[in-house]
Amino acid sequence: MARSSTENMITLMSSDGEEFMVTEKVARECTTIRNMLEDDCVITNIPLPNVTSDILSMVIEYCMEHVAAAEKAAAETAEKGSSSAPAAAKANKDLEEWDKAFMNVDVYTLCDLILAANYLNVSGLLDLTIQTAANLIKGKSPEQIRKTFHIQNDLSLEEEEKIRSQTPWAFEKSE
Amino acid sequence: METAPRMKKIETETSDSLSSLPDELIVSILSLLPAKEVARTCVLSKRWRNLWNIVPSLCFDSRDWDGDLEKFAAFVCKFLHKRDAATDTHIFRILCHGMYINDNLDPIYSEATKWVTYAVEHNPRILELSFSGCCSLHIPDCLFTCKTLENLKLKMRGWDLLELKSSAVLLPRLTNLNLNRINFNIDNFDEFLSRCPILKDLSMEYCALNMPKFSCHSVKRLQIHYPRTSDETLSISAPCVENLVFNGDMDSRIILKDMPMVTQAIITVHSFVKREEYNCHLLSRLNGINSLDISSFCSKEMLQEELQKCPIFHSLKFLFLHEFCPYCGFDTWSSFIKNCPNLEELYLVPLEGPCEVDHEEHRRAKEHQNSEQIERFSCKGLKTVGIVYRRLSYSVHHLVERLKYMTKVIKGLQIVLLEDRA
Repeated sequence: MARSSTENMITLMSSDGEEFMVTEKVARECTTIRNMLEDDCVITNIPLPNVTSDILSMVIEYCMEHVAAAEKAAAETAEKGSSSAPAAAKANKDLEEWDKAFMNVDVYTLCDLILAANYLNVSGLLDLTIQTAANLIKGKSPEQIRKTFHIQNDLSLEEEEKIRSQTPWAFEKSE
Repeated sequence: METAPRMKKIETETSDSLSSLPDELIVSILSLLPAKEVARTCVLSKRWRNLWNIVPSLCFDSRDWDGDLEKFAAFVCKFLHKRDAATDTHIFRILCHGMYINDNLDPIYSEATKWVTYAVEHNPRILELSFSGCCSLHIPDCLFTCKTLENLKLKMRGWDLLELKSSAVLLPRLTNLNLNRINFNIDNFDEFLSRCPILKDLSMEYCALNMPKFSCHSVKRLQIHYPRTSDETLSISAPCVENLVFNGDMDSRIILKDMPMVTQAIITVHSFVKREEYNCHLLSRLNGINSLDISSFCSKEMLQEELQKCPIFHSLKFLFLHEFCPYCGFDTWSSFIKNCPNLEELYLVPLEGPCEVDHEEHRRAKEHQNSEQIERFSCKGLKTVGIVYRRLSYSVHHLVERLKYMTKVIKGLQIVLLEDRA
């Protein structure tokens, strides 16, 4: 869809000084930025000291994709007067698949994305990343979880044994 | 989309990023896991020692113990006992599967009553109790006066709701109520509902509705699946319902009063159970509808007879016909389509199995299927006809062929094939 040239552009600046020009609509996907814009409507340059450029570019990629999907759905609704259910269902599925591919990241990037989504308050991205992290934990033994997330076990063998013996019910295996 | 995972610079690889997230974010992740896995995270490292304690969303599922209910019950008791008592439990789910009549389940039910009390004391917003097998759980009274509860789901096979002092019910925040396999043997379910002033979504599945009537004045979305009634009639009044799902026999003993606000409905009819004095005509009560989704598993004659009684649906724009037989479907539904003058989009989901009508009749139908017959099935404003299919079969091709007639009759009509990927 063609963007009108009058659309406001906002510059977002990452912690490492890189600038990203985005449309106001995309920036507004971040509730934190939306609130800033509502408090001060002439603001065009927003420093984001908590987000690095590689993570910020991914957050923007996510927001752009979701804005585009919402615009497409709205355009279809406007054209037809109301949305047709099968088309909407297909669009949702496509977006889900996009999200899934987008989550093909290593655990460090994933955790940084969780932090950024939380800080910028992008609820869709936060839900997606949190769910992805949960899926990575699910069904794994403590040892496998440590390995997946590179968690340093700072408990001594004795300490770990003690915890296990205090809460044996948590580690009981089903037959 | 690139397929290789994006990798960060190698120097960060020594740090432990998950553990460095703030508590609240780790806890949100743990909230999505079953309680058994949540508890096990306590040995990951010192950082994780007590995080499991403050997870506000708990799901206990007996399948995680391969149905060993004693171990399951022991786990829930110990987990709740050890848990930080000051932490709220916003979401609390007990899913107890694999219960058999010959098991002695009384000890588990008496424990389960305590779990529910625990949940209610910790400001739950969502509470789900699911017991397969004959359920004799005693639900503590406090559940029905829980001030924080927004969403309540009770699935309890054969559990009798015998009496409820309606004065002992007050659920001021309840918006969603889902009742499954419950026997209602009370007359005052009405009053119960009136004590849930902002209830929006009411769902009753496989429930025995042994009561003369109930009304739900605030409900916007009503779902009734496989209702069972006594020999008496049941009259349901739901004046504000906008979204209706009905799945079961159209039984004249169930009287759905006028529902002028319904704009969307999904109706699945298995059979029309007729009584002398009154016919159900559920469809005739939906004259303000905008989008209708119908599946019918009853005989063609029965359906046709019912469809002929339908009023004109002036607002109907979207129609889904499931189990549509590509041979005799056009005949069956033509009288109904005639009553939808403003229909814009029609979706047909072809019947996958064999149709009850015999081959001989189909052969005749096939020969007689001509433009005239298709014309009878059409309406002028139609813009799109969609065929929703799971797999491309002969019947899908046949349907496409039939529909080509329609494009000759209706200008600008679009035929689309949609794969159902669900």
